[in-house]
Amino acid sequence: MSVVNILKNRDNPTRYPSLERRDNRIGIYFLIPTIAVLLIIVAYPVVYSIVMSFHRWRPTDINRNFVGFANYVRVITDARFPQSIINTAIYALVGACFKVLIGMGLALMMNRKFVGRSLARVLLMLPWVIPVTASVTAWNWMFNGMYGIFNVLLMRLGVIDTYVNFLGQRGLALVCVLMVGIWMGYPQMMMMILAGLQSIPTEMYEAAKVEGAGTFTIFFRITLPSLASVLSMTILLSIIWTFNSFNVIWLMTRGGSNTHTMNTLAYEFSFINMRYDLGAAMSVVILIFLAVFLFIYQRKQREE
Amino acid sequence: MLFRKIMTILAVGLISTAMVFAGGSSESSATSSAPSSIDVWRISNPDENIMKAFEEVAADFEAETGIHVNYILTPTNDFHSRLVTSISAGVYPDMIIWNSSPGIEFANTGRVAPMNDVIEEVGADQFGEGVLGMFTIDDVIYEAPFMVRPGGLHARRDWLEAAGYDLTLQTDENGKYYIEGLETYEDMLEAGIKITDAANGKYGLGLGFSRMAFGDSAGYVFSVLASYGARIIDEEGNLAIDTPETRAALDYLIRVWNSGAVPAAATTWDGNSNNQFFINGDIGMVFNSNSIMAKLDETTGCKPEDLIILPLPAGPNGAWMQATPESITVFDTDAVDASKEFAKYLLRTETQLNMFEIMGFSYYSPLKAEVIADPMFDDLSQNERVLLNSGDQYVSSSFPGEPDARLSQLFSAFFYDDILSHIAVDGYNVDQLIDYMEQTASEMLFD
Repeated sequence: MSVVNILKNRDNPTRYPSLERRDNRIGIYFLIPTIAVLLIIVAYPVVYSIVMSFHRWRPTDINRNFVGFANYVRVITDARFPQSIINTAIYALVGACFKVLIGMGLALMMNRKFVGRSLARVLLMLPWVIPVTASVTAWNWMFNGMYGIFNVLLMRLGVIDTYVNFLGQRGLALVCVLMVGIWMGYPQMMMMILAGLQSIPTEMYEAAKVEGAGTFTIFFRITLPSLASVLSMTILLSIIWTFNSFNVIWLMTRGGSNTHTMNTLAYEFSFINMRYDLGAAMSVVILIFLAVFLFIYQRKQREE
Repeated sequence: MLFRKIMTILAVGLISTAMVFAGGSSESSATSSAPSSIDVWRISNPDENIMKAFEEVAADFEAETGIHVNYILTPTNDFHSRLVTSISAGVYPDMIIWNSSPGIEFANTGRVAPMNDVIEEVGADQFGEGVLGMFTIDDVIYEAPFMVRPGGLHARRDWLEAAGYDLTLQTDENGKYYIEGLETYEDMLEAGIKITDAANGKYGLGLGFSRMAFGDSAGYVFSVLASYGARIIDEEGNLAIDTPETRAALDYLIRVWNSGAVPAAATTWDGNSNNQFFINGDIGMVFNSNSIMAKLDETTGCKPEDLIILPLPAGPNGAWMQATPESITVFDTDAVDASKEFAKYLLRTETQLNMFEIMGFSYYSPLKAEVIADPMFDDLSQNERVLLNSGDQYVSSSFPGEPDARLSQLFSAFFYDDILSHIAVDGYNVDQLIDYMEQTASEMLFD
């Protein structure tokens, strides 16, 4: 474009956009491939699931009919559905609380200087690093009702007089999978909180000590308030991640002994009962539950 | 300007879409450009000799035809879910060698290649009518019978003898073997109780009461139901669960659990647990395919001489065992002809005899008449003869009716496993179990 044209059009922004607008537009063009890929790998499956949930859709049958809300009714009236919600709530909320509490305690420890701190950090990270299948196999072995190490220990300590079938009893099985879930999840929380702790200026602690503040006062007056935003985000994220957790429960019990969560139930509908339609309906129900937490997360992020 | 903008967006969109679809369809394009290679799914087996036998067959076949066989090995527990996922994604393997009747299960997808031509060439008379019938719907053969993993009631000879049983093998007027006092499921339960010594960690019956034991628990429940004359649907296709036969079978299963002859931990067993406990010497009787025999030695809790394979126990309706033969399913991919060539090669008498030379008569037992008639199988041990003698008592998950994809799916969907879970974990009585069965079966079969 010649200088004359530029001068001619300078008062007409629609015919000749500003340099900033042009830059923005170029930026948008560069973003298009990313947006397209995101649409395909994120939005498309979600939309596809929603469409599927309103149809009769099975992997073994090519006939697909529109059935309205029938799949949702069928999922909600399934005998396992209410229990799966209760289990998910327990698994997500209790699990998240314990992960954050343990993560917090260990992060406070790891934030201090002591001999062997690096080794301790590595060891504490192990549950997160070990492949899930390997660690779950080990836990299954420890919980085994015939030769598991827990039974042997409890028996030798005189706590039990017959072996306990940890993963084969209602209630107890959920506690066991919850324990394993917490064990696997605390390192991530620990790392997030540790990062938060390290961002607190040391001058604040030094000033508090000069003023004569004790350990508890420092913790409740400086550490905890400084970590408030990190903690709230950590708890929220932990709930979302734990809510979505699937592998521990499936590998340990396959949803047996009354341990089905919403995710394992959705998987069972889809891949065991081969009802993709019911699995999709269940997934949409899960999405609605998760949307609440995501909404809170978004609001918190915006506030900060 | 607007036109240029639209064109740019369209171009970028098209390129992105093309990239994604090009990546997604790489497998099928590879198949079409190289039909001289076939992907064959089969279960991974820890037995080196079995692996070697299959590898040698593939190598010989490639030398003869130039077609490369690419085995894709999958653990038994994951086989079904991986298959469903794969097929749903539109990725069909060229061939499957498995024992859960995938050809029947996926017949309605229209992608299973009929095997009538293969069977015609091999000779339909080489297989029992019942065996072919398991894989046939409306005269279309969806799977070719390959071999069978013979199942049997493995028991501790020493424990039973100590409990006063005479274990002499006898033959009835039909040529079927039996052992006096161990002929029925009731006898089996009684013997299980007698040989249980829970205080010392010895249990009479090693039956997985768990959905973790994919196939084992379901197979056991189905066998009991079939032997008691229970069935899921009648000849007209209506639900036929609430019958005196089903009630008697369920009552039997409840009594087995309450007898204390099965360890409480059986509610969490996986498919390998019962075998392992039997081999370790903790369990007196287990239903199993013939994988235990080869694992016993002087270092195991159960010594080779302690093992006796008992003829299948009977219920009021006879002695039936759920054991679908290992079959060959070919999918209608670009490599369908090459896959069928390999199927024919696998079914050759010479090929199968070579395989048995390598892997022995352990995990697999022959189904083809010419192979069974070979002198190689004349000199079998008593345990091996019992297994071979049970061949005509194996039934599919559609028994006693015609092959039905829905019943096959029911078998894979924890329907039978959960009967045991409800007994052991939830304490269900017969009425509650009937309710569970009716509700679940009606949802899965007719919804």
